[in-house]
Amino acid sequence: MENILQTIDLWKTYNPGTPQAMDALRGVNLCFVKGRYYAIIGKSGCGKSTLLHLLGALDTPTGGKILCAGEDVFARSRRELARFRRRQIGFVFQAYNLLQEHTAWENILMPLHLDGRDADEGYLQRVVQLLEIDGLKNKYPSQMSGGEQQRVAIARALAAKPAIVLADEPTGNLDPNTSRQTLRLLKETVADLGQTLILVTHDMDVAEQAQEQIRIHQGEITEIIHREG
Amino acid sequence: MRIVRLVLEGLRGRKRDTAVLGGVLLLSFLFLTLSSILLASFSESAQQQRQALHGNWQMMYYAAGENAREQFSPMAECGEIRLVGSTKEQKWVGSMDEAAFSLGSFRLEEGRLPQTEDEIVLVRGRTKQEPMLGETVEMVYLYDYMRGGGNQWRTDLRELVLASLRESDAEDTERAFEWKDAFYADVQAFYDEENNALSFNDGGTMVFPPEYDLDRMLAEREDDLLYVWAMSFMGSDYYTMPLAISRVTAYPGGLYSYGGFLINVKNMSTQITLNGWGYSEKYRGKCIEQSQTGQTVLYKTYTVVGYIAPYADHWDARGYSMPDAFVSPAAADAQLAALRRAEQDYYEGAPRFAPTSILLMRDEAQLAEELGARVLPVFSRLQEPYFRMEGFHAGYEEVQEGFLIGRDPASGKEKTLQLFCSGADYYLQDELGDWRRLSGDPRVPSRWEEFDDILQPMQPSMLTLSDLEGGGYALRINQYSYPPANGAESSVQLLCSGILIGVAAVSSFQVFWVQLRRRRMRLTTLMSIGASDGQVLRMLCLEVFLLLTASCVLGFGLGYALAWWITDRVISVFTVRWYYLIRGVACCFAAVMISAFIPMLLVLRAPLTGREQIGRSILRLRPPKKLRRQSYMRLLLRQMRANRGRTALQFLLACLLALSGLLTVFLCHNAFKTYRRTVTDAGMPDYELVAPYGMSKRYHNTLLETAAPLREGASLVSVWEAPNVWLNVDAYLETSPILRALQQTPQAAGMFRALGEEETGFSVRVIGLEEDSPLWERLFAAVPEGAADRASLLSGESCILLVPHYVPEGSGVRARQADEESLRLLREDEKAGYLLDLSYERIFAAAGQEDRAIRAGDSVKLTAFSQNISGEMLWEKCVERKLAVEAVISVLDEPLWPLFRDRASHVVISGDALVQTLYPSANTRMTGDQARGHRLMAKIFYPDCYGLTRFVVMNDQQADPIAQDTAASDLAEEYGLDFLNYRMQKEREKTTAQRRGMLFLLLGIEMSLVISTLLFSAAGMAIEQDRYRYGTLQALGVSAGQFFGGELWRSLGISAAACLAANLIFAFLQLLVAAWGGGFWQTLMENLHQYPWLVHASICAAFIVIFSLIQTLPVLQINRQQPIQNIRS
Ligand SMILES: Nc1ncnc2c1ncn2[C@@H]1O[C@H](COP(=O)(O)OP(=O)(O)OP(=O)(O)O)[C@@H](O)[C@H]1O
Ligand SMILES: [Mg+2]
Repeated sequence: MENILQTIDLWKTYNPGTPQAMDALRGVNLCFVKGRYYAIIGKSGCGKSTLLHLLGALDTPTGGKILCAGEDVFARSRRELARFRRRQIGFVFQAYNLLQEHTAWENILMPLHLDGRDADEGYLQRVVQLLEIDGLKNKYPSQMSGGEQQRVAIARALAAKPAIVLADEPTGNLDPNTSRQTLRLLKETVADLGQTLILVTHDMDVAEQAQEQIRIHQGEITEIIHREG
Repeated sequence: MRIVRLVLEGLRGRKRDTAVLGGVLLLSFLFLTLSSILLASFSESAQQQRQALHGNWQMMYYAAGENAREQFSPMAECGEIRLVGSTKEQKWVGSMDEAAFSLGSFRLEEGRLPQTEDEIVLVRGRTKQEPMLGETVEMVYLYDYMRGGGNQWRTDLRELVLASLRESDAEDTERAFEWKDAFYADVQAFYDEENNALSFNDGGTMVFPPEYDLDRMLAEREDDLLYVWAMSFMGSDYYTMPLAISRVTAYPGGLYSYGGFLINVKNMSTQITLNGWGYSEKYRGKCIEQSQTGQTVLYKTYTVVGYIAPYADHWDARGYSMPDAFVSPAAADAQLAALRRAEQDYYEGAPRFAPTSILLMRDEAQLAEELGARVLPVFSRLQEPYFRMEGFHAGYEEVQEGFLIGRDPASGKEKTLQLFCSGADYYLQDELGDWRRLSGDPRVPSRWEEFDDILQPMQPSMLTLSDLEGGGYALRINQYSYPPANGAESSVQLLCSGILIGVAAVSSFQVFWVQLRRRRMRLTTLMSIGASDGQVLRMLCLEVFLLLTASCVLGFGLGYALAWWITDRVISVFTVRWYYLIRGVACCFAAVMISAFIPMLLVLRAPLTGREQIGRSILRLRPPKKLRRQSYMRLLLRQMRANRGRTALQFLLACLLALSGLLTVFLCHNAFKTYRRTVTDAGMPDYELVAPYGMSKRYHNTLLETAAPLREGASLVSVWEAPNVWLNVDAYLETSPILRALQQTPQAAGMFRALGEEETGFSVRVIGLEEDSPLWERLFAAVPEGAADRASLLSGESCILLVPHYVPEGSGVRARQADEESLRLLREDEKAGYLLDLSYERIFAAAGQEDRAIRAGDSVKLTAFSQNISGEMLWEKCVERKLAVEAVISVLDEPLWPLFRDRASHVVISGDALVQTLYPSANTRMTGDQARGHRLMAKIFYPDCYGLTRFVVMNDQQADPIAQDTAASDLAEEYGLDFLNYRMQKEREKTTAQRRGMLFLLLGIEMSLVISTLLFSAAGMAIEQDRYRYGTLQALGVSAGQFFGGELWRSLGISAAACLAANLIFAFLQLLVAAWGGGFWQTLMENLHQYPWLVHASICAAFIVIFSLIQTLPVLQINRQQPIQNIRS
């Protein structure tokens, strides 16, 4: 069992040192194993997104560490951090965050191109087919529906074959049907590639499907449920 | 109140927007105040300079008649300097009262003002030996009397004839007759020896042969009568006996005579004309200008009680004389009254003796502003009514006839009647054809009533302010008198404020527009929850108003302080013209308010759904045909294309920033254009001293010795000039474009004349240089090495010919658009060379072509003429010379004054020997005194006849200008030279240029600052808008270096493009201006002449750096943030 990510006593305080100081995470210790599917659940405002952002190195913790392959992520230089995000992490934002000036296909290829790599055509083709966004390639985000955008965002997150896919309520804006379908696709693709998927959700049905359920309450891990299968 | 709080909170909440808008407005108000105060202070300092120069008066009236003071004194504080008379040594004595003393800013160096009748104060430095205070000084007053001057009879000329003088004149005349007989006999003997008959021309003039050795004759008779004076007068009772002789030694004791002949010494070198009767007024109206003059001598002894500091160079008196000594008003009155009594003794019909004064006036209520309404009519009234006489010519025997022009008594229109006179009798013909006998010359006022039923004198026309600005009138206005609204300064002020207000309005519109677009969501939300249009509008207006007020107060305060600081350092004059300042600020306020209102209305029309419209430019983007690898640069390019509006605005602002820098450089450079053109390019000297005769070497050397004090601080170049010299151009007329063009110009007809049968002459300027003249080196530098033989040049056997290059047009020469100055020259000189586009200057050589008709090695023929004013004969050929042309120069690298001023065509330069041979006796032995008398005569009777000697003086940089001025004017005074002081003019040109340049600089800085602020805010806002995008890209793994580098490259690209565009626009503007301003290449080259390209390039470089900084700095801020912070924002 290979630990791909490990958090050690992770603290995140917003506005530290001010009256509005707010501990979003209070000493989180978690291990993420390669190739598994994690779901993070909890009440609104309990710190799920915060945790995910830290895992994706989109934000810095106030305390504690995140180890990736045994190495402290935040000890790296800014340049290495950028590379870490580029190569290891695929992030699916709640609000998709597609680049408006680029077509779907360009958006998908963006992480690869920014890294100066060529696309693995066969792989990408498969992802696109799985996500059923074949016909959207030349469309701009503003010409797509929310679900379509979400799927493009997922494709983008997968494009660089990252080891870890982080998704923050990827289906929050979708109708139940589409949402289920999208999640299924995500799950399948990730499973296909042996990637680690960490997903934040409110939807218990979705959470049920995960191999591990992590429950957070007021910035603390209250429960971790393993499920085989 | 709630709404105020809401607004204030809003403003505080949007710190960045508030800061930008406030900053722009603050800058506008700051510069508005600054420029307004600086301009006012500049003109105030100019005013103070003028005051220091011209005194504290607002208006000055030279040559005011006796009743002028009464007319003016009720309306102004009035100081009077009565001109008591001119003296042999002191030149002018005036009276000084307290008012004149203070208004004229006189300064007593020593002693006090005169109180009793026999006290006097002298002006320091105007007397040879200055007596100590308490010592006595004898003044020898000389009173001229002149009768009949010009076409109109003017009684305000100083006229006086005394009985005693008549007696002495009779004596002189007798002696003259004696001398005449001897002279006549001498001439007769000469003719007899040569076996020639005396030849007479049709006017009865005896033509005297050039071979006659006049020098010998004059030498023989030196003790007796060295110089022969010829006097003639017209328009008086005596004009049928218009002849007089006298001798120069008799001058200034008395020149008055009658008799039956005229000895007309026209050109002492070549001929003497003995003239019997038949002098006619017909001669081109010129001899009418001459007057009979005579002088009365009056001796008076004074005690010197004080010395007044020299002020002559401080007063812009032009042709009018300023006193060199002052007596008390009472003394002046007594003396003038005595002269009056003498006048009564004179015969009937003589014009009145009319003493004049200099009036200095000042009025708290801005006299000058009311000049038009109150003063001008008075001044116009003081101009005398007059009659004009025209077309007078000799009829049969003693009869003369012509026309008298006056005013019709009934209609008031101009009317011409025929006038006829025989002896002293005048007859005027009325409309019915009847002749009416008059008792004498009808132009004498006392006779006017004899015929005022048929003809009345012409009334002088009403003067306007612009008439006075030229300064040709006896009425002068100090700086006060130029009403600010018409002045050039105020138009600059207007332009300045206009630009500033425009920039403020446009930029606040831009900022506001961008801001409101971003706030639209919030505003529409407000409206969707029930805020009315009015409420929202009121809120926005209040917001703008608060910002405006704050920035107005702050900007005004800062501008005021800054202006104070600058003026304190630069000119130490601080003036605020509140009227203009407040008006400007109010205009700015209103303009900004209005320009902010438009975006508000547009925002209110937005749909209430609150949805931000998707950028249309994104929808317009076409999907790329081929997928290309996305580098970060590509990403940026795509982003720029997607946000076309923003990119365009950025580019536009960048262009404006670059352009404002470049235009500032150009305008500052251009502010010095007149200065360069008239001063540096023309090589304008500080002084020019001109003797209207060819000066002998010996006399010249004496002069140089005397000029030692002047030459210590200056370089002095002397040249001899020979006018009235004609170049035989028959061989060149066909091939020379310049000559051909001139021949076809009607105005230039006077430049050509027939020299004899089938010979055409072209008027050329001949310049002779002495052996060690520094000008030789400059000339030799312009010709090929060894091409010119120095020895033959110096001996006057060959010459260097200067032929300017010309601007071709079609097959001819392009004519210059005649400006006022050249038209004036044209009228004065009756020459039209200036009308063609001719130049010796290097900068225009590229656009011009050389006239190669006359080449080096050619031999040219010069014919010198003398000018005879008597009878019909106008010009007489005196000498013909053949000259070899050593070299032809059409481009000179260094300016050569005065060639570079008036662009004369065809100038012959040779040794001074040439000028001497052209006028062989031009250098007769003359003492200073003789030369002075000679000069006067030459000027009146033989203009241009004897050639000129010109001294061009250029001060050293460290020389004391005032001391030099005094030295130069003293020299001119002593040697009777015409004195032209260009130093003041140069100074004035320079300060004017500097002031204008400073204003442009100020405006340029303001523009650049405002545009930079806008750019900074635009860049900030763009980044702000893109933060989400940046965050996403960060999340996708773009590194800080990539961001920074990308932004740097992008801004470098944009700024390079903008710089290029700005330069193109700059070039385009140059071309446009050149195309507009007459000669294209000429204007272009003139505009860019000595243009500081290095500064231009540095501005470009600085622009690129500044722009890149403005663009990339906000990225650093973004980079510092965590990705999620950027995404969240
Ligand atoms: N930038 C911030 N500044 C201050 N407090 C923040 C910030 N971001 C989040 N918080 C606070 O931290 C806590 C955790 O926020 P987080 O976004 O992680 O919640 P969440 O579990 O994702 O909630 P939801 O399910 O509603 O998305 C919340 O109480 C929130 O108020
Ligand atoms: Mg969340």
